[in-house]
Amino acid sequence: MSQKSEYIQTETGNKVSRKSLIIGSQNIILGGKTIIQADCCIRGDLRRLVPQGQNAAAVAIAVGRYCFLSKSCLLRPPSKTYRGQFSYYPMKLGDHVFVGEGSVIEAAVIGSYVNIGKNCVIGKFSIIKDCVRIEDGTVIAPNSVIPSFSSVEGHPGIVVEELPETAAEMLELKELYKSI
Amino acid sequence: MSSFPYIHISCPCHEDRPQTFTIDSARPISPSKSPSKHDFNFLPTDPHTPTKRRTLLGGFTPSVSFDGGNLGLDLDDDEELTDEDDENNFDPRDPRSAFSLFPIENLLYCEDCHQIRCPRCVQEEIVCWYCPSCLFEVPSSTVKSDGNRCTRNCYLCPVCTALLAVIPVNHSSGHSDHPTGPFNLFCSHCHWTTSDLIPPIQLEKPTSISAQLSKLTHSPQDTEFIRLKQHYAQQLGNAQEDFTNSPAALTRLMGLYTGLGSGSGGHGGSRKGRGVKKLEMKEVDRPREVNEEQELEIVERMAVEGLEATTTAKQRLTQPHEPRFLSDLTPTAVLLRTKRSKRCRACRHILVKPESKVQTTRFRIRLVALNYIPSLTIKRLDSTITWNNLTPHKTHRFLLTVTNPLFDPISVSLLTPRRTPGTAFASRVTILCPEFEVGANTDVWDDALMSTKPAAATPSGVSTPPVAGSFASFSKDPKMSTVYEQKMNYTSVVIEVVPPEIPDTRETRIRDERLLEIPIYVRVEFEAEVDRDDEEGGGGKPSHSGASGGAVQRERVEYSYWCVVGVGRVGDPVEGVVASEPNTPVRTPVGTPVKAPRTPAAMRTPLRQVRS
Repeated sequence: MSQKSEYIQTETGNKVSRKSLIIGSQNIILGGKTIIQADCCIRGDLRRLVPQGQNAAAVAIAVGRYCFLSKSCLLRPPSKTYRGQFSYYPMKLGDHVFVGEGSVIEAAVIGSYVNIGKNCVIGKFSIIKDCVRIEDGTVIAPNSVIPSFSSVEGHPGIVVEELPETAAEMLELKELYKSI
Repeated sequence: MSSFPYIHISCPCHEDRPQTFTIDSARPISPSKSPSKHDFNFLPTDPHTPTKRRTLLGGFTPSVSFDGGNLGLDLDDDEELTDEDDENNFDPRDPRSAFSLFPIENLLYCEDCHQIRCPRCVQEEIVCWYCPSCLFEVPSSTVKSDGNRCTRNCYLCPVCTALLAVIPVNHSSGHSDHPTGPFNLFCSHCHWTTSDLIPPIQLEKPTSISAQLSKLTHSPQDTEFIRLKQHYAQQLGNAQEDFTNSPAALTRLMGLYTGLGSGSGGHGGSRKGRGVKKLEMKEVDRPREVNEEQELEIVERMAVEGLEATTTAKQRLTQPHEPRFLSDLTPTAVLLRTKRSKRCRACRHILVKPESKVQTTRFRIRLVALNYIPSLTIKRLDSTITWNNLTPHKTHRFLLTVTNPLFDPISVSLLTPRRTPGTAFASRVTILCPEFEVGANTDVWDDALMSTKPAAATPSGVSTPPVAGSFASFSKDPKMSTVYEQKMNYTSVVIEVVPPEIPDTRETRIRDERLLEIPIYVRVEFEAEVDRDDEEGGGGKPSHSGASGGAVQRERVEYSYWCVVGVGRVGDPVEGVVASEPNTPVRTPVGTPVKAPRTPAAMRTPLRQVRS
């Protein structure tokens, strides 16, 4: 149980730790009931390069509902040089995404019901589909795609197991939100 | 096994073999009679009695008399009693058990057999093939003709198995709008590229990589495989022509095999019939040639380049030409994955049917055990307990929670052998309130009710007086032997475990004696509407039959299963905590019926029984 005062609660039920580091919050969307723990770093400032004159709605990081970002994890939009132009690209997290302590996320898309363990590295532009469990210490190579109902482990991460049909129930985080 | 605590449920399939020969030899139990009735003869038959009984339990009268009368409480009897227990109880240490224990999430439930189905007792059928990388569906005809690998652009690094990316060889050309070739396949994990190969592979186009690569990396093994495949496909075609239509098919088939038994005898064209000249290719019989010069060359190269340049067994075996050197590895195409539906092996009904679209995670039919049988969870009551280091001789209290997924209230009996079976170092286990009711699940999730924290627990006004409060205050409270906490669709009771002192010898380590697993027999009884059975195959949950018109008949249903609670590991003895009392907890017998039922008998009948 954490102290009430540690978190700032938003209107939609997000609980953001006062000790977390959120940069460029105008480019970050939280879906509601998301918990961001202490020492998390979310780099909303690394947004897509918009040509001068255009005023596109720039969302760097979109996070769904009931997500849980554990202590000292880092969310950082992926970047690459395309046609000679270096740019960051938006990152999207679905609902019920758990990110373990000390993990670094540079994925392009993470689906719903995804559990990422401790000290993982999710490489640039990787795509993780729904219902996936990523074991502690996994390193997912850049540009990889993890299909649904997979359990991923290793260095680089490979699918080691298929999750059962109940994966969505197993990875649901509603109870976790209530416990904070 | 997973980290502590875990709860695994035993699928009845593990008793499939033994029950064929133990039924008659053992205690006679008439099949018509409910085994649980027999074994739990102390259980009330009146559905309302459990509530009554719980109040009685406060005075300990019925159970004690039962225990004392039938089984005795003396330590002298204990040995005998343990023996008997071993025979009757589910033994989690039995090698056979290992195959049938699954977490409830992995289990399915057949509505027709009324049985739990584990991954071992379902049959799988492939719904569709897809590439796990590009997530494109591959038609089964393509799988048959081109093999089970992605035929698009998905390739894996042969060194580290990460996905390869296509990049232009000349980086400086990145400034132009359309990078021009040649292209490399590049692994962004270990930075291997196809230019590391000898000779380097470079692609002209960034698309249709499979077509380009198959031209560039064609080993003699591939050619041989294709020839073999063609040959046998032809054989198969001939054989089908011959044997399916001809009336003398069987004789000819038999003659074919007996005649060919001695090998080359079949090669002559003397036998009548068209396609049976030879079954095997001539090359198959030929001994594999080893080119001595080539081998020497390899040895020399190893001497020069060192072991770092050679492949690991895993890298070598994933390639058809089994290369010895890293520079001979070629990119491997991504293996396809499948979506599969699952059928019950006994009645062939479909238990799981995923939607055929690759990217969806929904199911058309999904009969998972989680929606049918109550699930157990275990928590520490005393937060000072460390799962991996349980103190011997100390009474550890855990909270066992039974959650009801059904839309009918259920009454639950939990039974456990008083001493954990299958080991010389048995722990004492007591479930303080083994019989209780669990409320019905509701369609509408009342978040407000669910979110009340255990600390603030107030009796929800049902039949029982749950005890709330700090641990210290109620540790002496006799009410502890009642239900600890009761909420909407779950009930928690206290389980006490006294682990023994286990010496740290080689033998105990091999047998992993310190692992403390408690088998618990869960028996569930409830009243269900009869028309429930008509809704089979509807998928999803055993639905709340709201639209059940007409006469609603109620029937009593009971079922039972064994589960194993992995509580933790027994630690080293702690100074000051010694086996002072007779190893029995103070209130031992309250609810722990020493006699749990014979497993085969209990499992012989369907999990769910309907009593008139």
